[in-house]
Amino acid sequence: MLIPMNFEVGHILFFDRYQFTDTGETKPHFALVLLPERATEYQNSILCAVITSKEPKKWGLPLSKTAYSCLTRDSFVCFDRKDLVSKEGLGSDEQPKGKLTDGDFKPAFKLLKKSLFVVDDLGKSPYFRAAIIYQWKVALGMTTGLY
Amino acid sequence: MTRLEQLLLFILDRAKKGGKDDLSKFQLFKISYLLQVYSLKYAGTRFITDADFIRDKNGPISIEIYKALDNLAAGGYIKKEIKTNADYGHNKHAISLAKKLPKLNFDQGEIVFLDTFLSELIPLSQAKLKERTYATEPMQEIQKDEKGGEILKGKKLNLQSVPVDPDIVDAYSDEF
Repeated sequence: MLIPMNFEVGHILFFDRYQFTDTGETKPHFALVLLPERATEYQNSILCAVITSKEPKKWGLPLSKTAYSCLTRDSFVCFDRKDLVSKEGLGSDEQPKGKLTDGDFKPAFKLLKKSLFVVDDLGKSPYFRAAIIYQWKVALGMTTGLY
Repeated sequence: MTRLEQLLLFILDRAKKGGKDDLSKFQLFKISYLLQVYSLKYAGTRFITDADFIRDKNGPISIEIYKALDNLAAGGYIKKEIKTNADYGHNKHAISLAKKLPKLNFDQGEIVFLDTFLSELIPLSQAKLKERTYATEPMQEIQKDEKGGEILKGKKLNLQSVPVDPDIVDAYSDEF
């Protein structure tokens, strides 16, 4: 099994078994990495937003299959939910499957940031929000790091 | 066990998992202080609710952390040893976990926050940690008041000088 230990913000992974934190339901899904793996490694999980072909009512970032060759149809990153997904559910082949394009990174951050203050999920914790916003700013080059 | 005592055990646990069997008092002071600053900056709130930081010769220290370490040692949770310290050129007070980590009362958000920042702080040398603490707003502020090599030893650091990150403010105030 090829599973590197350094998934970063913006990576697109494929899970054979993506388990939704709130319902416990498990399905195969693509997902966007919201925090570097090192932030959740001791929980053996990765913080993700699920990617589906069905547009969510709000907080959906469109991903076209032409820009993302790993996707077989036009899809959406659903920032209306965030899940700590067990690494055990990762697909057994090479990961990550793709990465957010430079053009999609900023709109993704804008949507994600808003969703963190509105959607009633894991991101409601001020400390979760702190970690996510800090790491996305680092990924976007909006901060060079810690002082 | 107080929140501060739990935090110190958490830091020592993560250091051990990252390959550092012990940390010096210096490292624990600086790492705790920086966690507090990042919490104010990115979460808009104090992570450590039961400690203040004061100016010392080499940056921030905390009386409450001294006391918490004494309590943890008395409870058998940690051990303190004097070891040579190649990183800083003289002996250090090495502090390590003495027994299995007890159950700590941090929620998932707090654990993710701690792991995010500790993964950057724990690998740093003492010199780098010192450099980072001196770059924070409270340390910059107090140094402005120090004239002619004077050090305002014992003066409380003003953590209110840490600005909340503009993206946290923006996210609170914008309508979508």
